[in-house]
Amino acid sequence: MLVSKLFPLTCMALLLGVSSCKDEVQIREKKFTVPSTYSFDNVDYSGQIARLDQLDEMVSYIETAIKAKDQIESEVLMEMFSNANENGGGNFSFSSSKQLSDKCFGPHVQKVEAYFDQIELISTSQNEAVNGVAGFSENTSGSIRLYDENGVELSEMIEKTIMGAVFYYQATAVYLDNDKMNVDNETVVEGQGTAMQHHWDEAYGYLGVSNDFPASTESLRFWGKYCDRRNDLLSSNASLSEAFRMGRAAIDNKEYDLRDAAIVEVRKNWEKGCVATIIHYLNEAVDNLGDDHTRNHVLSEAYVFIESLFYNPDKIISNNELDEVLTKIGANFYEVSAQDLQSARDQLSTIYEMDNIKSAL
Amino acid sequence: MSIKAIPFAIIAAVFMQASIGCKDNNPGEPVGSPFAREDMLKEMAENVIMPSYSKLLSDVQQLEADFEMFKSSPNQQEFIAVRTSFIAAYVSWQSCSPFEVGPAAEESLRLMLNTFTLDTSQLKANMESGSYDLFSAQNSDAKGFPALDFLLFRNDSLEQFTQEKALLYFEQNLDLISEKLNTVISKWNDGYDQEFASNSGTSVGSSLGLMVNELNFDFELLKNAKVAIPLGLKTLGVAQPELVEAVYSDKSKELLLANLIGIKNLFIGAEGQGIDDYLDNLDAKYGNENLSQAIINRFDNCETKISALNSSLKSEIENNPSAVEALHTELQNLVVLLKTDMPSQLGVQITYQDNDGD
Repeated sequence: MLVSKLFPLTCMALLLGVSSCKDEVQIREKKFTVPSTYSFDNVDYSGQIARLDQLDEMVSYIETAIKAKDQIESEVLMEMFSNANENGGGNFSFSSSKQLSDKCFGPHVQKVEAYFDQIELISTSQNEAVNGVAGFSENTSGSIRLYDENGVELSEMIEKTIMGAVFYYQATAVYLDNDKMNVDNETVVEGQGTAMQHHWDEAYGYLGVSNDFPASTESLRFWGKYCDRRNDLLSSNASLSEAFRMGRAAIDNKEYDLRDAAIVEVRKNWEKGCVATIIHYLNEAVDNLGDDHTRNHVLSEAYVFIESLFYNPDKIISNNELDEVLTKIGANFYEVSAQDLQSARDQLSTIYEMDNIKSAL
Repeated sequence: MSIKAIPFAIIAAVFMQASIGCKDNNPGEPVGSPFAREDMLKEMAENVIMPSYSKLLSDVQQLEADFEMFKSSPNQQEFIAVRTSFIAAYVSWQSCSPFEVGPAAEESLRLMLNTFTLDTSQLKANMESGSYDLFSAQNSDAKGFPALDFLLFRNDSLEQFTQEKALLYFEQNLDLISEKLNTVISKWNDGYDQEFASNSGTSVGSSLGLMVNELNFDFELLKNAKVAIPLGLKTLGVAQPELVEAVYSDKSKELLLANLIGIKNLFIGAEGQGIDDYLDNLDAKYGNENLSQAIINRFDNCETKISALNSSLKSEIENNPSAVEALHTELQNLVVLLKTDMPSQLGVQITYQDNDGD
């Protein structure tokens, strides 16, 4: 692979410094190396790890309850989301000062909290999930899922909305945005680097990969996991990792044009990974159209990942197109048609120039 | 698939042009006469800072008197009097907001008096339980002027405001404001005024350094917290009009204007010497004009844009966002001069950072 030959990637940027008052042109050559993994000085994203851990334990609380067909309590989820008393109201196995709720895209906090109330309500259902009736669904291999009356799997909506409205939003729209990038890059805080380096590392932390990524794909979490699943067709591990490493190296070398180019690449490649995931799930839905248990699950995934596209400030898709795609899928997952799902998929693959791989995803 | 790697190879090889400025504007290096600075600081304290604090103090005292009157005869007329004097005090606070140096910094006056958006569920829980510490971290956004704004204006009913728990919470917050303010004023009178004037260098920690930082910090709060955030500029265009300052009384426009004028007043030193005069003393230019005049012009542009809004900033964000966007653009234009050109000419370093604690 050509990709592997490029590592370590050595960048040579010829800088032309023009000093108009002295009427002379200074030319100097600058080199810096981009390491093949995220091995930089003073990298600390413990705050992000804490939030990934928190979502992990929220998801595990929900999934454990669903497996046992136990009631899920909105209050518990609320305490975990807002990290009450710094230990999620006693529901986390660890303490931390970090919160998910205060990093969530503000206008959507209520939406997440409404999901908590809704999942509590339907988790008390004694019914089997069918069109128009919320309840549990169990297939022949023993998988148990909880769907609302439209076939929406709220556990997926909760997990993925938080992945979008906190992790993806914070990384692409907050930490890599002007307010967090136009900051000091001189004063090194031991263990955290400069303010700019730290913000960059925090964005990286939300990807859910280790510093050895992509050489190692061990212990991938949330977005990191989905990025890796599309790697065969997209080389998404290499491109996203490379964009992050390039940006950090550029910051270390105070090459801000290169940093800005890396921001564009991070946003673009993260979004591509998300779109490829959506297309994958839409394909799965078409392949399992007659199987309520499976179709509702993969459509819930597809739907909430489509909603997540919104959080990227450089997103390629427009808000109108986003609505169009969601409308094609519709609000009732029991009543979708293969044509509508394919049309949703094709609209995405056209916008993102993925027509060549849309069937393989 | 290897295509993904190529853009970087190309980017890395681009030629970049780095322009090197000619003017030596090393931050931290004292420029101008130290005597001019000491006079300026003295006059700023005398003509801007102390009169603003005094005005706020007398407005807060009026509010206290009206509140006492209301408690003894809780009727509609007295209720309106309390509301009116509350707004007057809140407006007066806006001029004091930029002075977060010395005593105000020690007392965290801005945080204590005007942290918004208000956490209404925390406030209600406090009010209900009757047991709370207004100084604790979890109450940082459940107190001060925003709490008074909520209690007085959450609805027009006298009844709710007259509930014992509401009156108590109101009174304790009013006491907090009054105590903090009195402490700050007595520290100024008790020797900080001398210290402020004589700390006349330009390094980090000098009075000018602190003042320029706080002026900028307050202005950025104005731009971001009061305008950009409710307008949705920090949330991918999704407006959050309910996040404006003073959302219950709906006086955010009036407060915004008072805040802007207060910051400008600090810059020009009211009737006496201010930062503008000192910039002139240094012969600071912006293009062909004096930097001081360029800054004043941009202040005036911002003021014009605020004045052009109808009386409710919240409804303007909902119904006429382009007018608020135009204001935001003017605020941005001013930030550039205040945060970059001015400090560099003054030899002052901007040291505050937006830090979310992660």
